[in-house]
Amino acid sequence: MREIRTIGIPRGLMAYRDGVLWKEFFERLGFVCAVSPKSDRELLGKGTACAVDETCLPFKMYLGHVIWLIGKCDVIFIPRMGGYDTREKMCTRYEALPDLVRNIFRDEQIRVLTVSYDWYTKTTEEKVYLELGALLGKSKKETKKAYGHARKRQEAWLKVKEREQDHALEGGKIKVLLAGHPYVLHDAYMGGELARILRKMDVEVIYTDYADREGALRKSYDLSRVMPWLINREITGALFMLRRKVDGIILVSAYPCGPDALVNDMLVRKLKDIPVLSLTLDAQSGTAGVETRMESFIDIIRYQKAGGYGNKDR
Amino acid sequence: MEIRIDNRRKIAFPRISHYGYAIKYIVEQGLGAEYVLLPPATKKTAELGSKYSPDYACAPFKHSLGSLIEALEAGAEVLVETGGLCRLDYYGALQKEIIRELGYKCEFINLAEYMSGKKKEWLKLARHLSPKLKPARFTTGAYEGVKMAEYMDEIEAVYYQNAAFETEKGSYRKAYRKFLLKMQTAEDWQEIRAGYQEVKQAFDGIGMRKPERPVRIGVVGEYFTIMDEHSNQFLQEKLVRLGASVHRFLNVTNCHFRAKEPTLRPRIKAYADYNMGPTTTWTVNAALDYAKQGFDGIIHVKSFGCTPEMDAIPLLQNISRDYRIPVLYLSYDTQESDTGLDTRLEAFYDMLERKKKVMR
Repeated sequence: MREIRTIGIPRGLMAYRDGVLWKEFFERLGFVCAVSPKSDRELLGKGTACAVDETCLPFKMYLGHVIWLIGKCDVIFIPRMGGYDTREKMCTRYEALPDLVRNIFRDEQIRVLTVSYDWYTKTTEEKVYLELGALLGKSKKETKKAYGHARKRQEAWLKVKEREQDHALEGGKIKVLLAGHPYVLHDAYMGGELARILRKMDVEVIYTDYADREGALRKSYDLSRVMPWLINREITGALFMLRRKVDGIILVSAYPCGPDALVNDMLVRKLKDIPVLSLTLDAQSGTAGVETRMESFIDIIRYQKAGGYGNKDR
Repeated sequence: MEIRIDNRRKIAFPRISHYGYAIKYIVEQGLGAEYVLLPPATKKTAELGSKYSPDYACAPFKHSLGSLIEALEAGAEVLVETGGLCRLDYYGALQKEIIRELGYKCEFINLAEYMSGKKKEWLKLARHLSPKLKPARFTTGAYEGVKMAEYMDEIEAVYYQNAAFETEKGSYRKAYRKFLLKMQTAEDWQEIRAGYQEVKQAFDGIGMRKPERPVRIGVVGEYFTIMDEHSNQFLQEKLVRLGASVHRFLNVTNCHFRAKEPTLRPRIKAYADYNMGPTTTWTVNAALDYAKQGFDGIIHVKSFGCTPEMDAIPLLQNISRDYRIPVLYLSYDTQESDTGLDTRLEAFYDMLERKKKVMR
């Protein structure tokens, strides 16, 4: 077994949520991290070529990032995340992730670094990271320290984003909330395009994942006791925390996201007093279609703000 | 004015294959409530479900929503929806909302809320559904209902494995349908038992002309679509008519009462280290089993967008390569016609038959 020096982190899926934590953790333990570049057309093309047709766009993109990392690191970090609580699970794809990647790239024989947790094993994040440290041959003390440090850095990172967003919310521009999975919102090829289009129209872009995560999670329980997915809970909670502060909401989903298909339908049913646009992104070659829809959405908001459709006193 | 001859509550559950009979038995004989047993699903059911469902919800969501609406039209007062390990866990919440918005008045019980709950909660629920509940009677009723499901699974398996080789066309079908009718109307344990023994004897008496090496096809895949004939457009029946012996591991008995996931997983160690999702281990294990036993082909069945089953596909592709066994992948939504399926199945079967003749 070759010694591990460089750990590859694909810039996809949960890296957009927990990436800072992972990177800091590994670097504190003395490893070098290789992170794949921002998503683009080429990465998506490569990923799509080895994925099952029906799989979701972010997963195809993820495979592209994995391919990029092959040969550039000693091991690729692909955690298996089930969730920490029965009502805070992950989409089943995360349960399958390491095995899935290993089977897809069987011929390339890539080495995968993984750590696994499930809601039914009643574990904590710290325990999971201790296990990961042990896998890498580090002592418990070292690992614990690295985890504590990484956790703090992650929280500080989120705090900064939160503060920036709070500041933006006070401005006078039209504010539109992009609600969706972090790996859709912040992927350069997916949500990045949407933000670019909105900014071009002089609109302030607000994100659901730049909000107080724990607060959002708690808030989501007011709305649904049974919703099983952690990320959708965070989206829903943040959405209801922010909805009075924004002028419109765009529900961004990547085709064909399983949890979003059901939850976004529910959200549309619950959000009756604010303009909502439901956008589903696919691997299209152009953005013209999306652009047209967003333009008319912003037009509606502008019109309504100006007194528009006369439903103010409804 | 409606005349009520009894004051039992009318309970409905979405259709799932023939298991409605067992559920009916448990509800009526165990719980002491009335069960709204729906006639077999039609195209209308799927249309109704699709009409009110989100576009890319999985087909089982649409089918079960269609069933629930039909049950309401048939007079159901209490709707029950189950929970599970995938999107199924959120079916109830959304279906409840959809049905409310449609303006139906009913009680909606979402079992997902009880899944991680305690026994006491379940008992409370049972008492709520049937105030005069007798716990002892409920236990017996539930046990007998489960046993009925096991019998139905056993008989169904025999049917699909052998029906293609009967000498007199239709004799298997006749006995099988008679058995299902008995299960539908059974009111006590004796009737269940008698029906079971009768069909076994009937099956034994059917003349067979089984070739020495028949074409054997294993069907694997997603829980609902694979079991519910209407959802998979009578896939197994179609294969039987083409002349194949059809095997299917996944049924309620094997999934819930026999094989436990952690005990099966070591058997697929060459392909997976972890539990990859609700039924993925069963799918991969069954496929591997068929491959090792020298089956001629495997058919993988799922509804469009089913994440866990989609994630089983790369593993099946590897099994297919390692054991040189052809795999046909079928992904169902709510289709209008089954001509496309017929063509694909015929081509697949012909290919298997030919391969068998040429490559001994």
